Amino acid sequence: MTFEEKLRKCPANEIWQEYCGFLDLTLPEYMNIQKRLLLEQIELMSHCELGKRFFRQGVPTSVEEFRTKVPLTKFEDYADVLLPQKDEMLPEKPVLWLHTTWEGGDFPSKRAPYTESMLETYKTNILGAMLLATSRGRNHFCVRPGMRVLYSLAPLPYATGMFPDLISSEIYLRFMPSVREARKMSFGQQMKDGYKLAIKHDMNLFFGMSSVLYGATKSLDTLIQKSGGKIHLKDLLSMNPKMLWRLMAARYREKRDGVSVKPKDLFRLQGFVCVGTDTALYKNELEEAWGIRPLEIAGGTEPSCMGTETWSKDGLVLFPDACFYEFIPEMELYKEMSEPGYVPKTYLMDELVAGQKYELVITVLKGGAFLRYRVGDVYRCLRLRNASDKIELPQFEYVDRIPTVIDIAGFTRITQREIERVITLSRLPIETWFAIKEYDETGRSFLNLYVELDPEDTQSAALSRQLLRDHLALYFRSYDGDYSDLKRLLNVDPLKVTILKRGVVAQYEKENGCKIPRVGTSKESVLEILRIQKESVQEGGVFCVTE
Amino acid sequence: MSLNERLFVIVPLLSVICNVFLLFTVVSVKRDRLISAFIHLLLSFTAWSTGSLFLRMKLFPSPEFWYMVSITGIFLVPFCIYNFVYRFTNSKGTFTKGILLVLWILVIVLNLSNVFIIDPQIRFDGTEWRFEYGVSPWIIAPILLAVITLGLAGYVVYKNCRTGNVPMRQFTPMFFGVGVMFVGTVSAALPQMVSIPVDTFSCTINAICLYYMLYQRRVVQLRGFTNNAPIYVVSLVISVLLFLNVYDEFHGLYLRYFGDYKSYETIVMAAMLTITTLVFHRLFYRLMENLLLKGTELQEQNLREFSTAVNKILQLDELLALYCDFLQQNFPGQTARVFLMNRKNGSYCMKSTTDMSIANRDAFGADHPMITWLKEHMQAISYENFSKTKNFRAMWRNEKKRLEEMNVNVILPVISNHELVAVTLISLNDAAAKKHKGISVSNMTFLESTAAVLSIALNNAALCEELKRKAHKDPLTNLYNRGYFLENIAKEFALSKHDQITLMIINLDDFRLYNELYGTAEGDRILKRFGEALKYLVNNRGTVARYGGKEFVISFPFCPPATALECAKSAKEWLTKEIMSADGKTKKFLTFSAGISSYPSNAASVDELFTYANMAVYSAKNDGKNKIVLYTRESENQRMARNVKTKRALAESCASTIYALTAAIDAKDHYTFSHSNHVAQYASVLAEALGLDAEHIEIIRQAGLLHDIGKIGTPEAILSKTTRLTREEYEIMKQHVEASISMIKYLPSLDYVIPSVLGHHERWDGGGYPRGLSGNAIPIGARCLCLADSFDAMISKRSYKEAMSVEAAIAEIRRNQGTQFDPELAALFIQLIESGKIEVHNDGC
Repeated sequence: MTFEEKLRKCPANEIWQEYCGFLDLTLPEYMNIQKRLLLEQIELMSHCELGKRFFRQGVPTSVEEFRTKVPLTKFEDYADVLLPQKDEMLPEKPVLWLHTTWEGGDFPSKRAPYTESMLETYKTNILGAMLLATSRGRNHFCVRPGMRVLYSLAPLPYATGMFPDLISSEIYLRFMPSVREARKMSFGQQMKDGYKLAIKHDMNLFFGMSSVLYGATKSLDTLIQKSGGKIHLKDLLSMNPKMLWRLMAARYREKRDGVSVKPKDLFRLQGFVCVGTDTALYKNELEEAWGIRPLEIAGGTEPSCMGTETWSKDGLVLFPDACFYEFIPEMELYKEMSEPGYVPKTYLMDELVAGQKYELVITVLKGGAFLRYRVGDVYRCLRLRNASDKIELPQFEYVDRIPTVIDIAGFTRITQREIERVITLSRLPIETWFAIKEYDETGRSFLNLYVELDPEDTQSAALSRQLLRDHLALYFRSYDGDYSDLKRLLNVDPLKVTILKRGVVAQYEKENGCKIPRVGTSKESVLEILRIQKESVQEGGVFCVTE
Repeated sequence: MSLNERLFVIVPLLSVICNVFLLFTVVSVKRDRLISAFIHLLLSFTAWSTGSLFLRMKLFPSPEFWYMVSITGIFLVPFCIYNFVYRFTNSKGTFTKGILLVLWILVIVLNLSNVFIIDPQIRFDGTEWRFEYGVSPWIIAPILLAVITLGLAGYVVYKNCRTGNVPMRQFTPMFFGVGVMFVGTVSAALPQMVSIPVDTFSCTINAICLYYMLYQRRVVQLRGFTNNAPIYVVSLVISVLLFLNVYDEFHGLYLRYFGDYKSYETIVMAAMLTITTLVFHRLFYRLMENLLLKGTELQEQNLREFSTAVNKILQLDELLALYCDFLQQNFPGQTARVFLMNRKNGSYCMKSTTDMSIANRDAFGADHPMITWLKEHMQAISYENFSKTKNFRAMWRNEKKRLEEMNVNVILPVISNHELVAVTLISLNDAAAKKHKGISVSNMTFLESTAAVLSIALNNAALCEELKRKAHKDPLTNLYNRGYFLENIAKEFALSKHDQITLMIINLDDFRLYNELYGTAEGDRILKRFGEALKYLVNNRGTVARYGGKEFVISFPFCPPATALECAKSAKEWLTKEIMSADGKTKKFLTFSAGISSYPSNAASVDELFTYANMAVYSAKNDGKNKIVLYTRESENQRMARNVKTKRALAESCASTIYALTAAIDAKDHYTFSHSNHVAQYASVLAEALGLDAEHIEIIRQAGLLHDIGKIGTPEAILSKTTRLTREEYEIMKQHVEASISMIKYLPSLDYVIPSVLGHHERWDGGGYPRGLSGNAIPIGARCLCLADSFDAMISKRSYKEAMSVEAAIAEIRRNQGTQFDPELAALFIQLIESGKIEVHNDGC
């Protein structure tokens, strides 16, 4: 029976039970599922070449053995198998390979195999997330066939592109533009056409990247312009009367009250799903603008769809059957950064502390390729149980990438290696540098590159700090395709250069007795450096240009 | 009466009958709020129909009265429907319901004052009687209230469907029924329909639909239709109507033919009415039974028979076979697989199936999500519903695939004492699976009843098995006991007859001493621990049993002697470690001697396996104990030689005793002394030729020397009697065998000769003495002695006979081949004599 048939024939509580029943699990029940499925994965892995690579100390027979005998892994450990797509070395033959870019790593992209079972689980879980996006509480949801869906997420072979393809066999949804048409379009064109159709015909569900949504929300006028250009009579005639009425009413209120048109004036969304970095920052404003609180889902190329928020849209619950989850506490993470070679300890779902930040370590279940894999995402455990929602499972909030990776708007992941490369290529006289992720007053994230210039070249560089920034931005754009997408799709130039007086960094390191990490410096350290800089300025003879 | 008038009587009449019938079936059901609500609804329908009918018929007390009954019934219907829906959905909150009730009571009260309907009356328009009335503008109030009430009922339905409290499909009959009633009531107002009583007809349809709704929910059962009361009422009403219609004709006929008995007419009519009612009653009963209950009755009958049959069975296999037959009979086209709990690890292994082509290979672990769900919920579930549970998420891909391959339709638990003892998987065959044919609710209930019956029987069978298990176990070590082992090895031997089987006997050395030194409690402890260790070491390769106080026996079917040897070595290591690591200041010491024999390399039967293994144990004991000895027929084996040497030394050390004893016999019967020597010689040559090992040959030789020492106790008169022995004398003579054993017992170092000595008068055909053994059950040494003894006796001169010639003796042996003597041994013996390998001492010839 397809999902659509179930919606027609089965009572709501049965459908809820099937797709969202995991929310009723107790923690021991949840752990039981996790452990059982991990044993299946170990069994599958033990028979393949890739698995044998990680089971050098013998095939684990229990979860405890698994955690002690199998090392923590990174993509580099799989690259020789996954990049050339060597099916024969995997635990199960994949039916789909997903890609993602990874300019900051050793390899330009990452690939992840998906087995039939993984896709089945993905389908069930994403349908559960869809129900939750439209729900007000247990057993209350509003999904029906024929709903109009604006889907502004990257197409296949990116992970987000799987949804329309998988879902179409389960329920008839009117994607705007249609899945077939969207396949032929670029991501930008897909979004543009999607908005155009949404304004004409209304939309019921919205799946999108938080940063993109936020951008669109901030400039709905531009959005309307983009979608329909100037509103001509022809456009008005082609619009759904309901939408036309809403548009006219919104325009009228805009003129009467002097308030700008908000998306909620035009759309009455039943479900609003967003993904990507910084979602937590945008959520309140998105809710205010769209009239419905967005539901955040967690996932990625390697882990697939692994978590969703519930009807209260306040914290992610991780699906018990997508991955086996381990968590590295923040302190362990910093210890690892300061002591190369240190192997951080991991904790399981039933060993977490509320409020603590953790790096996520996953083992993809159901024949996936990744074992104890460090995705590079940091989550905060919001609470161990949610009494108001009657959920007995820990809930999380996506914090950011790990400190050594700077994620800008969910589009690009910049690492030390990448910045070093860009600086080298630019041949700019940069002597010392460090970079952190910061936010502007509108809430947009950007990369702030703090540099100390070579004094011999200082005079020429000082002629134009803009030149310095443009120079670096140019190299970033040419080196990192995702970075250039930021400019193209969001009209964002996420680079800011702060020039420090020569010796400020050295002074800080001397005072504090520790080296500044190139990427991932704490905000407190940056403030301290700026204080030293300020004091130097007051002492005179300072060269400092900031944008 | 015109057709139209007839219609206005017949349709409401049928409606009344139907409503009354339903009413009677429902009142017999256990009353709850839902049933009460349905009864109220039926009463309002009945009032509507009855009022309408009696109004038309202008019955007593008056048409006005029946009009009031009818209109009150009509006004009560919307509220009763609301109340029914309210109870059906188990809704909470009484405010709205209370308001509606008050309003409808008000409407009814106002209606009694003709506020809504003005001047209702029956009038004859020249052709037929018509019911005419006028309406006041206030009629809008009850109509509006009816719409609101039904709207609220609809809202209650919508709310409950939306929350999933009640599936929408459960309301389908109600939607249909209310729809029909609405259309019927509205159409009654149309001029074209005025002459047809569609309103009362539609309310009957509605009542039936609502009854079906309750049936679907298992609140009422179709069995209610076969209750006597409603059938009798309906039969009576129909009989009365029939009589009313035919009364005139019948009265005329009666007067014409039985005019003389006019005074009896009433009695005759009453009797005929009663008979007709009874006939109708029987007919209706049969009709209802055949229409509605035939399948159910049959199932119940089968279940009763099944229950009776299973309660007589205590054997698990038989029980499962019966269960499978029962399922096959009642669910043709579906395959049942029965999985029983394995108490050792909590898993569920397939034990039986209705499809013989399926191998019993499947099993579910104790942590299988399906098993955990069944343990948690203790109820049957369809596979479709199971796939929607949270437990399903923990399923491995292969587990899902396997269940899907089986086309599992229903998962049926068998619960006994709150424990899941078995699981039955009912699978659809391919044809049914293609049609997506599921299992009905009634069949699901039937299956659950079957499982409940089976659970009791399984419990009994399990108790029986437990008792058997206890009977087969040694209470101290929890190993099998001697009795079970002997039964079991016979089966294992039969199974492995075309392959191999090895037997090992382990005898703890000086265990009596160990008990005396460290106490019986320590002795018991070590026996228990040793038993556990053996069980662990042998695992599933064989069967371990405690054979005697300090003796363990292990069978290894299909295994070579090397397996037993390896196991014995491991056991020896374990025992050493266990003794060394035991608590206590005193260093303890305990060893064992083990003997191994195997089929077919040396033994030919179970008895021989035991004999040779025992001999190997003796050999180990005699070789200084703490040894593992593998019985072999290789004469050149050094170990054997050593053992032979030991035995010879022993025999030599006992020679004086033996000679003293034989000399004593000689004094009584001088034949016996030389006879024993001869027998020892012949038997040892025969044993050697047979390929027995040197040690065994030596035992037989010594047995030959001692086989007749019991004759010391035989009266000289009998020994030297020259004539035939009487029966009594023969009986006394026969006692010399047991007397020999009694004497050898006092020579503990020579006790290994006992089996051979004890059996030397046994016959191959079982006619010998003292134990009446036959065939291979007679120890090989005894069979050798028997031949040697008989041969020497024949060729020797005795007090009662002359010596026979060797040829005659050979002929006699040949004649008794297969009766008195082992045929193969006898042939070999003859061959040895004829070839001269046996040096014959025929003193008499």
